Amino acid sequence: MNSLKDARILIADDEGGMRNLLASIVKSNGYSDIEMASDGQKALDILRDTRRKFDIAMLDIDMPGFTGIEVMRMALALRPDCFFIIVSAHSGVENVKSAISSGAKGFVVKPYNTSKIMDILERYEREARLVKA
Amino acid sequence: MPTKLPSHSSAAPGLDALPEFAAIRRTFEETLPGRLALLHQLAASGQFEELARQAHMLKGSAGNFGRAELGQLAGTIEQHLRQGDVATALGALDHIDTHHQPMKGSLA
Repeated sequence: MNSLKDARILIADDEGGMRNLLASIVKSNGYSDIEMASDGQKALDILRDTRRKFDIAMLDIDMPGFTGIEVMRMALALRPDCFFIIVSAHSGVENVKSAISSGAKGFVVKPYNTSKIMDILERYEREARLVKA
Repeated sequence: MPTKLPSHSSAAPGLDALPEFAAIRRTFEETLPGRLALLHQLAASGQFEELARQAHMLKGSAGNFGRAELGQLAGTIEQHLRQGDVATALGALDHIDTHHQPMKGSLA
């Protein structure tokens, strides 16, 4: 990866409009290598294919197949360096705790604005710079 | 007293500036009548678990597309269904139906 903006990002949400919206925000921040999944099983299949590198995974909690948290738990062993972000309309403290204790680097509550997504991508970039340094 | 949903409302900050936002919101608005009809179908057939799931999805997306009040009502439906209070949930569903109006600005 030459630049942090070359990061490959997986966006998983069972609602097409929300996938496209998140992709649009991410693209507006300079990222272009984006893959999308419409349910938890597809997201897991993509993340299990370790021939392909993913730097960031943005996973909705409520998806058919597996929840975003379940996908993250199963994928983390294969991808310990991936920056997992959980996205959900479930804003309860228990959900946030569960996501973070399971390994998520961030939790974004729907509805969100562009600055929330930008903040979390900037955090990814700061951490990635530290790892590279 | 139910409050009327505004015909025009703002999307979450910054989203309007995205080049693809108008098209994404237009698709959301175009699919909204079908989604509301689905909520009613699920309620009529007693599929309350799926109704709660669909209401949850609507809660998450409506606020991003300038439909904050709709999102709040969807959240009320989901919350009451999760608590087993079907009657109150169905009352909120009637609210959505009575006060839904197309967002004219988004279809331009």
